[in-house]
Order: sequence, then C-alpha cells, then structure tokens
Amino acid sequence: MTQSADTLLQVSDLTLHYRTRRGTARAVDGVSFDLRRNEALVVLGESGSGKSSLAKALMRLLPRNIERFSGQVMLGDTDVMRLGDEAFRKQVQWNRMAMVMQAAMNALNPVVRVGEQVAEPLRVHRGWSKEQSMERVAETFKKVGVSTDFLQRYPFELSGGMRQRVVLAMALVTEPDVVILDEPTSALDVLTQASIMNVLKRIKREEGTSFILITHDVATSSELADRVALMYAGQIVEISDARDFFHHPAHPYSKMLMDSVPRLHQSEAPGFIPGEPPDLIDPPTGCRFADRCPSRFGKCSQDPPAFSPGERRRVRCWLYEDEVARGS
Amino acid sequence: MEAEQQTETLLKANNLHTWFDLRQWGFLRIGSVRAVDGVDFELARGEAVAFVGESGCGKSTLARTLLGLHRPTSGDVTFDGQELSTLKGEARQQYLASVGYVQQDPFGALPPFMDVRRLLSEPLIIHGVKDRDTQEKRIRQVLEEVRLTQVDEILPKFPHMLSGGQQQRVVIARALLLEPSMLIADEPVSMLDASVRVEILNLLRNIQKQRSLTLAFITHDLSTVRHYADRIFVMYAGRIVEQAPVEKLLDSPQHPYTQSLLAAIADVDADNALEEREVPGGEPPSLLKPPEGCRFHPRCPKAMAGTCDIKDPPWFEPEADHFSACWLHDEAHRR
Repeated sequence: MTQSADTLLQVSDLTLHYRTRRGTARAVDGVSFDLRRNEALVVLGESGSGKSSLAKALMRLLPRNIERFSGQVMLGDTDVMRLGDEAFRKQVQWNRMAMVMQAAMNALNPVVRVGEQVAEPLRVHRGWSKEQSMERVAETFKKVGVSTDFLQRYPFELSGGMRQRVVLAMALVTEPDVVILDEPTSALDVLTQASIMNVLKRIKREEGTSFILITHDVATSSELADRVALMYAGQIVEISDARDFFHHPAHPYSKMLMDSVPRLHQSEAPGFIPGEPPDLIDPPTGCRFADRCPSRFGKCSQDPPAFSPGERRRVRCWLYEDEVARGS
Repeated sequence: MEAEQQTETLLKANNLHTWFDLRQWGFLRIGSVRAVDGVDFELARGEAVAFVGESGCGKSTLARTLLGLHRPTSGDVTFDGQELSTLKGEARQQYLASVGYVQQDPFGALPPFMDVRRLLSEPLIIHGVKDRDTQEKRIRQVLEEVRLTQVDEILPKFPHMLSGGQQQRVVIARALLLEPSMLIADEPVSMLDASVRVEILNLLRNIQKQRSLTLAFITHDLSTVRHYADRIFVMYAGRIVEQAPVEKLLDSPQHPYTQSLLAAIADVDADNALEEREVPGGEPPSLLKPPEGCRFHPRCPKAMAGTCDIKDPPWFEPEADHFSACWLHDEAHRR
C-alpha cells in the first residue's frame, strides 16, 4: 500500500478475535485500509460481517473476552496500537477519533440536559471549564442543525431526528480528525434519514472532517461515500472508489449485493444471494464467499490475497489474479 | 373508489378509526391518540397492496385492526361480505383463520421454547385439526412451499438455531397453515439482511400469486415496493393521502408528501454524495391533536393558506385510477 501525504489513518492487518464458549470468533480478521483527509469511507456489510467490531477495535472499546487484538493503526504519525490504554484514552479517544455508536440516540442519559451531555467529552478529555465547553457545544449544535434553545432540554423532549443530531454533536464537539458513525440512520424514518445525511454532507464539505460510515444499507452508503469497503465474514473483500463500487463492482459478492438492491425506477426485479454467510467461529478455509459464489473455481479453496486491479482498488478474489499479472 | 368493479372485493374498510385512550392515574381520559383516523379502502381478491408510511403514521395499527387485534373506535371492516365487529365465536375463529399474519421481527414472533414442529402444529390444533397425520402433511406442505426443503432437518430445530431468513420463512409457513385468503405482512423484511430481503419478498409474492391471496404489505420503504405489490396506499398521520397502481405512484407521485418521500431517496449512485436532498422541515404531527385541514400542511412546501389549513382535502383523481387527497388538484385552486 502506498502512503500518500494525505493519508490520515492507515490500518494494516487489524485483527480482533473474541473468545466464546463455542470457540474463537474471528470478527475482524486481517483488515487493512487507509483513509485520506476529508474522505468518507463506507464500511458496508451484512449483520455478522464484523463491521461494528472493526469500529470498536479502532476506538478500542473492547469487551473483556478478547482472544486476539493485533495489527497496526497509524493515525497521522501516531502508532496507535503501541499506546497504552491510558495514553490512548487521553490522546486519541474522543480527541482525534470520535464515534457515534449504534442506537446512541436511545442511550442518552434521560436525566441530564442534552447540552451538558454533549459537553462531557470536552470536560472529561480536555478538562475545559463549564462556560468554555458550553460555548463550543452551542457552536456545534448550530453545525448539526439543532437550535441552541435545545441546550437546556432533556432527551425525552426531543424527537428521534433531533436526538440523533445531538449524538452527532457529541462526536463532533472535540473537532476530531476522524468520526466513526455506526449505522447512524438505521432507526430513523426516510425523511429524517435524508436530513441527517444532509447534515453529514455539509459537515464534510465545510469542516473537512473525515468519516468512517458503517452501514448495512447500500442506498444510505451512496449518500456519503467517497470510497467503499465491503466486508464479508470478518474480511474486507473489496475496497474501491464509490463510483467504481456502485457502478462496476469487482468482487462477485459486491456484484451480487449491488444486484440485490431494489431500484425505484427499474423494471427488472432485484436478485438475491442464495445461502447464508459462514460462521465466524469456524470459517471455511480458502475464500469465505466460495460456497455462495457462482464463479468459484478450483483455486477458491485457497485463501485469496488482495489483488489490485486498479488504482486504490483491492479485491480479494482469485478472478483478479490474471488481470493483475497481465497489467503489471 | 369504484375503479375496478369487475374484481371481487374481499375486504373493505369504511371510515375506519382506531384511537387509543390516553389516561391519567389509570382512569381519567385526557385525550386520544388517533392512530388510524378515518381510513377507507377496498382490497380485491388476489390483489397485493402496500401500505407505505413513516413510523407513527398508523400503518401497523391499521394492520392490527384488520387482524381483529384492536377494536375499531368507529367505522367498520367488512370481510367477504361480513362485518367484522358482528362476528362472534365460531365465525370469528373462522375469520382469524382466513387472515394470516407475518410479523416484523421473526425471532420475536416465534416462541423460543417450541421447536418448529410444535409451533407449526399449534395453530392446527387450535383450529381443530386433531389428526396427527393430517397435521404432519399440512406442515410438510407449507414448509416446502416456503422452500425450507430439508423438512426433517428443520422440524426439530428451535427458533434460535435458525438464521434470520429461515425464521422468517417459518413465520410465513405458519401464516399459510390455515389456508388463509389474505395475508397481512407487517414490515416482513426490515429485520433481515439486504441479500436475504429480496429472496423473502420474492417468496411472498410468488405464494401470493400462486394461491391468489390478497396481500397487505406494510412497509416504510418505498424502494422495496415496486415488484412486490400492485397498488400502493401512502399513509400520513393516520390517514391515507394517496393511492394508485405501483408504477403510476412511483413514476408520477401527486401528493406533496409522497413527492417529498420520493425526493428523499434515490437509486444508488456515486453522485448521491455530492448533493443535499430536499427535505420538508418539521416532524409529523402529534396524533393527539392533529392539525386542522390537511395534516401535511404545516410541512408542505405548496400549502395554500386559507384552504389547506382549514378544510380537510377530499379525494381527487388527477389521472385515471390515481387518487390524491390534496387541494392542489382542485380546479378552483389552479392558477
């Protein structure tokens, strides 16, 4: 992987395995990608593909049953994985990398005014005074489209869309370099969803923030993505520019997934992918998608490496071996 | 709406209202949540329709009212010529058997302590199919119909041992057991993964066609409707605001609410990330005290003061077989 000057976050071979009663669950299994400044990378995947675990691994919000947690994460010049927990919490967590967790809008403290809750990262991670933090919170509220009158409200007084903006403000308030969003709109209605995506687009344009958006929904992903990383059974099977991914997907799984997206104005019916994703506890050797893949051949019983059939494009599929060999 | 007189009407809702009382201290009625507030429609035999709307628009309450789980506050539902509220005992039992219900969350809909054989024989026993062999035959038949073809493997399994897609197939199988003439599917795929969704929707649509069932498909997602329904009803704040055959509604939406719903979503395209969408401001109204006149007028970009905020819009038919409850279609208001 070539490191460009613009690279903000570089993740190599990140691995997170959980210890469970049935054995080791390989939730994140050797994931590599990079994120440029002011870029939005969408991590797309179905449930159980490891996309939320990837976010947790990056933010180091880990449960106790960790079997293995390894790999390299470079945030600018900081080698994140070498930092101790305390140093990570002080330097990185919520300062340079912030996260909006899944269903966070329902996890707001019901008895604390939302303004104070949003100020918390500043007070805890930066040690700012109350006045100073509230001033910043008010600014952030404006950015996400919440009236400053709401600073003094309690969560139950806000609608779902407003609460989602409040949690978004909580992630943005420290002006981090990278904001990770885990399914930020999946519990919301169509119109609210669109308005939250509008806020994200505006913030990306005006503040230059970089985003990692985690979602299972292809349509949502296209609302923000510069690049798309598709996960399957703990691995990234394709990472491409959004235009390539949406219009000319490369991996057979990407192709079938794109084909299963219902279109509003298209007379052909969408397709589907027969079968089920493999168990993360005992994934098949070789390509993990092979069982469901219509183009599988002999070689698929071996684990495919990531081939690079185009610039900034990597595909974990043996079909691209020849193409890459011919090209180079 | 007597558009298609030649087809036989199976179900008819007439000025249907389902309100929930809001009480203080457990007995003092301080208001009513008007979840379904004046809904009229007819479903023909063998027709698949979709009720589309955002959360809180009353679509699930409507489904549950049709299933007989809520008693309508006023208005009535006629099924096969019989008025639902008059059905008692045997007749009511028979109605319940003729309407199958596919729930939103398959895992929540299946009792965790029953294996598939047990949970599929239960409805048969309740509805008087006591003979073991007949039970077994019917169960095998519906499981094959939902393409759970390894019947012997599936029967002894408990719900948690099945994948989401398999669970939803079992739920559909259960809904089909009693040979219903109508299926009500409340968000049947919203809990499933994208790659499985289409498979389940295809399955429902095929079963509906093969058995010529009436299917009421309730969803918040307009993009999944195209291939799985013949007609769409768009709901907003307890009312139906637009109804038309699928293509007409998706290709030329007439009601401003439907128009804004469609403007908020787009087919997947890399350019989506470049432009902001037009979204009407505000939130859907409180169903405790819905606004006067058209319920969408406080958010409507085309609202006409003096009309939309005063008078309830009646149905207009801006194009053949396409109905929209909006004053903009009124000749008197065209400029």
